[in-house]
Amino acid sequence: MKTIKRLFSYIKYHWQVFVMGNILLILSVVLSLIMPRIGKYIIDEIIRKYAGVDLFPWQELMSVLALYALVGIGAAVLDFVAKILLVKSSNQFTETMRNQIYDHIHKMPISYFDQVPAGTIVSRITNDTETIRQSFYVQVFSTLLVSLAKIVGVYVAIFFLRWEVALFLLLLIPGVYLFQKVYRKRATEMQAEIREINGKINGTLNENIKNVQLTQSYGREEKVYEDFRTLTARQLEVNERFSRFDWGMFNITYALSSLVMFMAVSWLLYGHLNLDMPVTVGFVYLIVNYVSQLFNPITGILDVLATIVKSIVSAERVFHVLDQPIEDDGTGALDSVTGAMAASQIHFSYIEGQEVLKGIDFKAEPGEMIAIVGPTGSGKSSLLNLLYRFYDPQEGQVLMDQTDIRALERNGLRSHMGIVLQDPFLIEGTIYDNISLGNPAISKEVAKEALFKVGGRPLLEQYEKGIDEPISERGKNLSKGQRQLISFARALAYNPKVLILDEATASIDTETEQIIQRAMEVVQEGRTTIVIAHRLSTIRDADCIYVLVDGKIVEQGTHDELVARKGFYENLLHHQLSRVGQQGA
Amino acid sequence: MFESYRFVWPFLKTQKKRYLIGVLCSFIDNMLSALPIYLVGIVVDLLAQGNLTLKRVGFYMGVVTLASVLIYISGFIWTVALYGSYNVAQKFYQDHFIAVFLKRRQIFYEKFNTGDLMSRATLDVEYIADLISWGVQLLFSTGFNIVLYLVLMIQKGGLTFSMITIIPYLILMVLSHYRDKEVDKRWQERQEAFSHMNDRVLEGVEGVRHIRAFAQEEAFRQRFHRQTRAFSDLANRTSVISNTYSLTTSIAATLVFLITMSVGSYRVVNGQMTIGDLISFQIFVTYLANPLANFAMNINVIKNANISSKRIKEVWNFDDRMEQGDVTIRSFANMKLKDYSFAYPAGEQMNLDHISLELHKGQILGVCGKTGSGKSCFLQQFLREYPAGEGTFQLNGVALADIKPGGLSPIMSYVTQDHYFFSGTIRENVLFSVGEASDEAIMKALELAHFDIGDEVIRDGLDTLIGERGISLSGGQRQRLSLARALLKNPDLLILDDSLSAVDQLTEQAIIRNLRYIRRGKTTIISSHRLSALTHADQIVVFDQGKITEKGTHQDLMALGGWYHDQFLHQEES
Repeated sequence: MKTIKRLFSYIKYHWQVFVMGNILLILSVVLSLIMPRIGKYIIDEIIRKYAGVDLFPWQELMSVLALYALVGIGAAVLDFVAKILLVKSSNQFTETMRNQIYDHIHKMPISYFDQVPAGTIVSRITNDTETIRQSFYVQVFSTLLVSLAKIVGVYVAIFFLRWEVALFLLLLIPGVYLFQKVYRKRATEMQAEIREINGKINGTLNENIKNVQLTQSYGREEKVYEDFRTLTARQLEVNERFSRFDWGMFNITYALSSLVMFMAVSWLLYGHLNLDMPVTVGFVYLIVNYVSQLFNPITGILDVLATIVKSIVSAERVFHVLDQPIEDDGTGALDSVTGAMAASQIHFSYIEGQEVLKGIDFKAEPGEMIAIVGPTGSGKSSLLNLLYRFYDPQEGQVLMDQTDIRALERNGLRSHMGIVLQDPFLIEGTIYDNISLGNPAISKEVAKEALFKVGGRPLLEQYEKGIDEPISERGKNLSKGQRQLISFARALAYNPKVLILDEATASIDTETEQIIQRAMEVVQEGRTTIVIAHRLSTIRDADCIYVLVDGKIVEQGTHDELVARKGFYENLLHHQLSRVGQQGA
Repeated sequence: MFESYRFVWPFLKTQKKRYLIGVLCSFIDNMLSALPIYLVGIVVDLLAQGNLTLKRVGFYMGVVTLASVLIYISGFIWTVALYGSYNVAQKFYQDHFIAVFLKRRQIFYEKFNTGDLMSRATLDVEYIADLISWGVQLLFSTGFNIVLYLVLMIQKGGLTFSMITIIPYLILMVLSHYRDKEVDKRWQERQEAFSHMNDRVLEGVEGVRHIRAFAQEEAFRQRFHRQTRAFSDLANRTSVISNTYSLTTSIAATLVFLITMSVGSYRVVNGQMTIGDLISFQIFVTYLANPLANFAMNINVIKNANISSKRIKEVWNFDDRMEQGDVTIRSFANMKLKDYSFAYPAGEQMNLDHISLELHKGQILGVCGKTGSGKSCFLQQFLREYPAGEGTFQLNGVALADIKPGGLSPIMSYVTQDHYFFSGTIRENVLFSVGEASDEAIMKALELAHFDIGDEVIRDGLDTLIGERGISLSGGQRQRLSLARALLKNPDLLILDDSLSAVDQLTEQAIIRNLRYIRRGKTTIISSHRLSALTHADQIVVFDQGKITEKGTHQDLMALGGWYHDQFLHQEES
């Protein structure tokens, strides 16, 4: 109930269209209820009255029919416009909701993204909201409202004609309520069963296709086939049970509709014959018409109620995301920085009790290049997370120009920093869009120059539109090296004081390696650079190399110092060289 | 237009009884449903003439009550029979799909990827099932309904009157045909806009570190808002066009009413029909709108089924070009290759280039070489995934091409580089190679493969679930488990295609020791990157660029001083 209330609360964002739609809807229903009354008038006051009379009032008939046409077309047009407005407001509500979650997740801590798979987040923002749109807003605001308006309208109309008939028909309401209660309970159970078996069949199908070679090599086709048939037999059984139940229920309302209609007619005729309540032919026509208009909206409402249940699940998931706390931010700002970065006694853990960084110290003076190396799992990526304030350490501080970065506003801090991460990030758009990432402060000229500097001239010359060339499917038409180039150009164009390079782990071909090597040299110029290195060949010139093992810095110094020391670094170096040798063989 | 009906005919034939009963009951249902309106016409006439009696009313009320019961029963029977055929069809076609999948070989799986096959075996099957249920219902029940109401109208108002009245409906049907195309187009655009929006979100989620690192949250926010706005605009436009359905239907109904009443009044005034007839006529003509609209809309069912039946046939009729030999090998005696060459159908170069080799029962053959040298390609010949190559490749003197697909499975266990399992228990997975065996035998096989069933992750022993709903095994565990599966079969010919790469060297050597012991008198082919696994083989071959470059025992090859020699020493060192 709380969820439904919250879904309704979105009306407040765009109530004008919504209210307008409702007014037109009610008008349309009123007009459509007038139509049978015109029919009655024609039957009783024209046809019946003048039947057999020589002077049939054709003119009167025509003008009444013209009125009917006016009302009929008016009702249709009003209904049309009303529905469009209601769907439009449903779309507005959904749009607002989508934007809200998108904005919200971008204010949430990065840990959320590390814990929840990307597919799930996407599904919340698009699929769940779409389910809400279709199964809740559109259904409730067009089908449910239209049906309700119709039902109320018909009841009121009948009430003024014959209140006892209306009262009799009112009995349908508790009947329908009970009916849908029974139906929904049973149907939800059965549908859960159906979903489960369908999921199983899809899983098995997938598995059987993937395992087909295995099955064939052991000659076990028969077993796999029989197992699958057992599953489909169960599916058939479950489906048939549901379809018997479903159609058994559906046919009740269907059979009831003719019966109720005729009962109303019989009552009128009984009154006519026995109770001194005379009826005309047109009157009978009118009642038949109204009563038969009652059942469609009633079954319509039943259908809607079933889909609303579906949408509640989605709504709960969406609201769950919206209720996640956003990350708190510092307020300080540094207008200009020298580019000095340092860490003192950092202790950090993702999960309490499992420390991944155990007291790290390092220091990078403005313009220096420092490198952090170490085996996989030593804590390099965690360190990077702290530098960028994706996470905050539990103890110790990260300093930029002697200021604890926790005191700074994240965006302000990050505007002084640039990053090149392992996997190049490309968005849909042109090469320029990809370099600027939508930042209006970076002009096309700047972007172009940056790309040229990192060695992207051949890339641009390859395209007719140059920097305005669209990148298809987020870079699928570019080689790995080219994608990296764009990444470097971006870092250069943003012109940060501190640059962080997270080097690619995956093996890359020599050509790409050369391209990247050159680009790296270019972007490092005139700024502090922190390299998270995986291949040692790139960091020989570093001012200081920190060797990180198991969350601690075990060695530090220049390349030559560390080699001379014959410690962990030297070992690592030797190991890598021999591996390269083996690959070459 | 009707090719999809031809496609489903074999299924329809199996369901004769269901359709006969279903169609019959739907006729009864339709006729009985028209009865109350028909009776309204009669009582109204009696009312108009002043001949109405309470007895008459009571009688008709009784008739309608009885009819309602019958409507319920017949309606229930035909809806369950006709719509229920959906489920039966789904099973029928999915079972057939699996049977086809189990027969097809690699060329087929290269052409169709898993996702594609899945969608054909599920979505396309659903469209076909739609045709079988809704499509048949449409043809018989809806068709009958239309005919029935027309007949009743003609009976009440005469042929010409009826025909004139339904003109607006006919125009409507033609109109909606054109509109359908427009709606389809809009829907497609909408779907595209939706997946576009999906991409944008994914971009923002996957790139969240980059976006934040460059402090461009605001730019991405705006970017996304533009996308949601574009989607709303499209959805609004789609709703305009799809809502014209009810607009035009209502207008057509108004026109029909005008025609009915003007022509009808004239006829009633002239005594050509009674007032009761006119009222029934008017209601029948209103009722006609539903099946007509149904008919127009359900044309889509046939359209979809046409496309789906083509997609299904494409898969079912695909030729994977395998020779259909008829020999099944029951025991392994020898293998002989002479100048055997093979190329993958998709590739251009020779993957095996004039290979000559002999192997006899009881021997161990070691196979090595660089990645891509052709050693895996050689072993895969035993899987018979592709048509055989050129030259001689004989098993027990029978050419590979004359052995029926699957004709090697009685004698062979093949352990591939990638390890596949079914979601289920460990027991079920090991048993997969043979079907039945005692738990003791299974435990023995696991032990020989060094699969540690006592590991703390494997809580329920043989009953531990693996795969989707169970625990996930490490690479080494997967390899050992699939080896155990192969060993349980105790095959004449055991082939290990670099299948122990993820276990450590000591374990590998222990496993090889086990193999040498239990495989005595049987034939084994092992390929491995670690040459220490091959030293005891009766014969070792080295592949390079599809050719055998070195051949002999370990001692022979070490003496030869070639690739094997260098590589062996290199590996010893590290």
